[in-house]
Amino acid sequence: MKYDRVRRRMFLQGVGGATLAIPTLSSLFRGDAHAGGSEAQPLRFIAIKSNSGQTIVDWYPTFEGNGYALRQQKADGTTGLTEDIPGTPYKQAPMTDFMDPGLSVIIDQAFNPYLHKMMLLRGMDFLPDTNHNHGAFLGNYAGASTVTAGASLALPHVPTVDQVMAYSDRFYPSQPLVRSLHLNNSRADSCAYTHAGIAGGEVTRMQAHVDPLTVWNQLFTGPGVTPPNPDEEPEQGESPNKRLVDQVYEDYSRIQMNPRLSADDRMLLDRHLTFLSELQGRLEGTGVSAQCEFPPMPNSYPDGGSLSLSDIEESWALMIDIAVAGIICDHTRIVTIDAEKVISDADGAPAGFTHSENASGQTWHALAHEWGTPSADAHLRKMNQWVAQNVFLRLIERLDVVEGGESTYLDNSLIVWGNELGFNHLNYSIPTITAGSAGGRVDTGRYLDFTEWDSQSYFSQHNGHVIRGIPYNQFFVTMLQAMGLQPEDYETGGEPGYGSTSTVGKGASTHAIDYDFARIGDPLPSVLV
Amino acid sequence: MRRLRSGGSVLLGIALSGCYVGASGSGDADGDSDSASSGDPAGSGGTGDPADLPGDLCGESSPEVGSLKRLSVVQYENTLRDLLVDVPGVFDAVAPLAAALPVDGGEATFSNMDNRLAARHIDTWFAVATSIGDSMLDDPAVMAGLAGDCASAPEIDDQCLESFVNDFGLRVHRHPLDDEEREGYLGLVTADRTGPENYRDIAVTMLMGPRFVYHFEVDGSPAIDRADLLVLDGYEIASRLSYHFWQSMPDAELFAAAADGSLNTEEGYQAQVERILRSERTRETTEDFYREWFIAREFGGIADTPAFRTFSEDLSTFAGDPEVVGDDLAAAMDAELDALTSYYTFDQEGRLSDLLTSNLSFTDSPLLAELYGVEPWDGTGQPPQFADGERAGVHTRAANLVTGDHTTNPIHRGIDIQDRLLCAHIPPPPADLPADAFDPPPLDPTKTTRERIDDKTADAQCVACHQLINPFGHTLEAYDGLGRHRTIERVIDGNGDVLAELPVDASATLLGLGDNPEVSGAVELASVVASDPAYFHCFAKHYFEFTYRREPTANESDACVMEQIETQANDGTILSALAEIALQTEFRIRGVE
Repeated sequence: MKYDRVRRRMFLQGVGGATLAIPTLSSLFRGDAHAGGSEAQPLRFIAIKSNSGQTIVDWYPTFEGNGYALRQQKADGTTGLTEDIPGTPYKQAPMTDFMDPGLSVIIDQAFNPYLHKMMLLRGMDFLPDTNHNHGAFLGNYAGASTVTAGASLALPHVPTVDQVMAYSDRFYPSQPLVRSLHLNNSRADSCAYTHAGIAGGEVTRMQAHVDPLTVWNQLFTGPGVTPPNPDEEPEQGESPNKRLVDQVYEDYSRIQMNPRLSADDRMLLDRHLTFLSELQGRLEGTGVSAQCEFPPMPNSYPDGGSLSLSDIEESWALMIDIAVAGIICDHTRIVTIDAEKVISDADGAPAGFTHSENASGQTWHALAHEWGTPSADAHLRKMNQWVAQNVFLRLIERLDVVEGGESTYLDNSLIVWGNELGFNHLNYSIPTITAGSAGGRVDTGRYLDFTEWDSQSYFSQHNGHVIRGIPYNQFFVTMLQAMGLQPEDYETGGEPGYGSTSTVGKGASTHAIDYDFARIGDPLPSVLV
Repeated sequence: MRRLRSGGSVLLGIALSGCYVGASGSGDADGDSDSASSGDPAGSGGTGDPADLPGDLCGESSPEVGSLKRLSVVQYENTLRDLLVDVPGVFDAVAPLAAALPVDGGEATFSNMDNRLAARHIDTWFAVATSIGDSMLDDPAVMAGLAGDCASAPEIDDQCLESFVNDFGLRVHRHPLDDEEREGYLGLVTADRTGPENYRDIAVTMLMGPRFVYHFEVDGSPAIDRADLLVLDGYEIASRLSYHFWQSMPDAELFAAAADGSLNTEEGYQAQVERILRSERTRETTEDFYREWFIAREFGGIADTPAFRTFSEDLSTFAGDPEVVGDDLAAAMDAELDALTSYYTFDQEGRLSDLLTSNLSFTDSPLLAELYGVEPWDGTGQPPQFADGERAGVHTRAANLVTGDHTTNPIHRGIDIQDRLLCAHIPPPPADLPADAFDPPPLDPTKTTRERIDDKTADAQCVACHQLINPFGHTLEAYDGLGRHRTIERVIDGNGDVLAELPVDASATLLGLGDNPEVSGAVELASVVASDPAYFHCFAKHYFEFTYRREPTANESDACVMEQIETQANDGTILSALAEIALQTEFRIRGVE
């Protein structure tokens, strides 16, 4: 029998009652065909995460001259900005002011051709006390390590912003082949948390690809994928497997009604049915964009190539290039990248690194703890430079090709390179840099500093001061609105903005927590056009 | 809380007397009193006659409501392998497709506790199912192997088709099909498709279906006077046993025992437990359990630094490419742990304490043997013995000692013993630590690592926890960053220069453990921990998690189940403790809402 989407909704409402959530998939609720952003081109969102405590002075300009000087009060070795962001206590500067010798130690002159398409952000603070975490920079402060989580672990999980986009009709007006792609060559977990589009459904951490071959398989094989072949007409008509999936769907629907299942069991099956529904949609066929060229099948690098440096390098290159091909083919519009296993050559002796507070050896985490030790600092610097060149810049270069009209894929994207933490294990001033203007929605080319330098410094650690900046939540809103979402698409419970506003674990006398919460639902000032 | 056991057990001669109240569990001695034991499908649930519990419950409260689990990745692959055992080559062909499944993991102790579901699961299950189905069309031998020669005929033979649906369906569902399921599959047959295509379509549908990729337990009988409990039917019990001990589907003997009802008799059930317990596949599963229990930290490879080169210059086996050496070392450490745990669990039928007190070397790796200063073991005869007082148990083996560089980390080592062996909760560091709290203590040629760590954590803000952590780690200071035994610590700077050689002090007072014993080092620590109730409780907790794929709750039933395992681990062999969980009533029932 044919699967009837309307009947599916009725089934959920009728059988599940209050205990069953209703999927809000675009395949179920087709709204108007207004894609977020440009009418002409779709928007894409790519998030990169690097790990553990960072070295602030490596991320931001340390330039002197042409009217710029290093900060004298609350000095940290970085350049003080002079131009006000109108109507705010914040400062800004054109990034091109720092082209020589390069924007920062990490963002070197290789980025100069793209500075006008980039944005450097400073002074964005996580609100709750979040220690090691997986998903804070994308909106889920509770997405934290259970080993050294901090107080935020007690907060409720919420989907990360990429997943809000992934299940938004504005972002995906029609069902995509792959709603979101998650890469991590170190472990099979990502920085993304999802409810699979089921309002009120369980929020779970998304698993990640560790092998470029499985990335390729997901994007370029399977139902809905039609390889470009000028010599053959695409197959028409219904896939012979579609009716089988119909039957499978019925089997799951039937067993879901078994009275011996618990509410949690039914919720799990509801998620299964949601994914089956998506498979069903793909079996109906999706098109392939005109410029699409499928990449060749890559070699397999299980576990991201273990600890072999050449394998690490090759597997990252393949995963990123395949992801870019997936974007250009419009097989997906969302990618997250956990840059955990990277390479450093600080001592002239290359070494691979993974991230874990629960690992032996020289990891991101161990090195961050050794801040102040020259060799450790050099390693961290090289690791970030490696990510800058081999992940961030690689994405920028490969996406900055004309998509249509005068805009490039990069122009129609927002690439966010964020971090697990700020300096040391603190969650203040999370280093963040972006590329792409999200179809013209983001006013790029500027370095924006939201730190309120004239306010109190609560304490300093390593090379950073705990000074009030701006709630990171306003960056969540910025990312969501840049991708075309409106408050009604992401706000819940009548609360403005996105993400928890709790400052749990922080005391007013010891930490900056007195933010302007009246603006918590606003995007970052001056960022969106 | 404890139950009384009045019946005997044939199992291993272990002290199970009084465990059960006879074979009243599911009916008559011939085991055909209910639909499941007679091989009849039990329907979609709720229709079977109420049944006695297979024994007394542990504790007064009801067992937790079991939640639906999907097959873990390991279980899925093993199940495919077994399902396709009669059609050589098919599993190998689909294994690369199955490798696209998201890897189980997360932050739980055991990877099989990961029950997340992603679109990639559904897509992979679809890809595997269609590939197997297509191989039936492409290769008549595959079709014959799965559905019989009759299935290759262009026209459908009704008897052939029904046999396929019933027989293949039984193995895929791990349960006889009910009428609705059977009709659903038969209803897929269409005149638009050839005979073989119809068989293919049915197989694909089965292999994507809920009964294949999930562990449904909805066919049992409600317990008499206990609406909150279901007594599992024979097939469900068969799957519980096979997936727990083998991580795979029931074999032919288990299916037969489910069909003839013997699994619902106490004698038949215990016979199957004993058979399964001693099988090679149980050994493999148990090695997985130990590996995930004991190894607390990822190994990030060995450092290629001047300091490490100085540190390892006397090791001939470390002269090669650091990447290759690192990979070889990782494999050797895992293999040694497997060999040690299997030796005491199965070969010697030893006790849980043996895992912490063994002074035998089980490595066959020249690399690891050189670190240990012993000869590699060829797997036969008596394993080489370490020098007196050098090593005892798993925590003194490289897998739990190696840092990958020239330093040791007594804090990590101490936490690992507390966490993994004693299940002690050590809270995370507070948020308001001073600026340099996490920085390692500076190198000082006059102080050992132990002294520098103790200085670093002597502050009042730190010492409350570190007085419980550091001593356990200090006992392991007799092993360097590669797990070599030492009495002297070489203080090496970043240039690889040896600044000092200082005597190692591995003695400690173990606060928080029993009567706060004083030990001279790791060997005495092993002796203390191996006799501490917390170690046995910790084993029970972890084995519970591995078995039920969830954390125990505060529910009295969970506590009682763990207590029974703990008691058996204390009083009997490791093997008897592994068996204990399957012999509990709770293993053959489940709670329902």
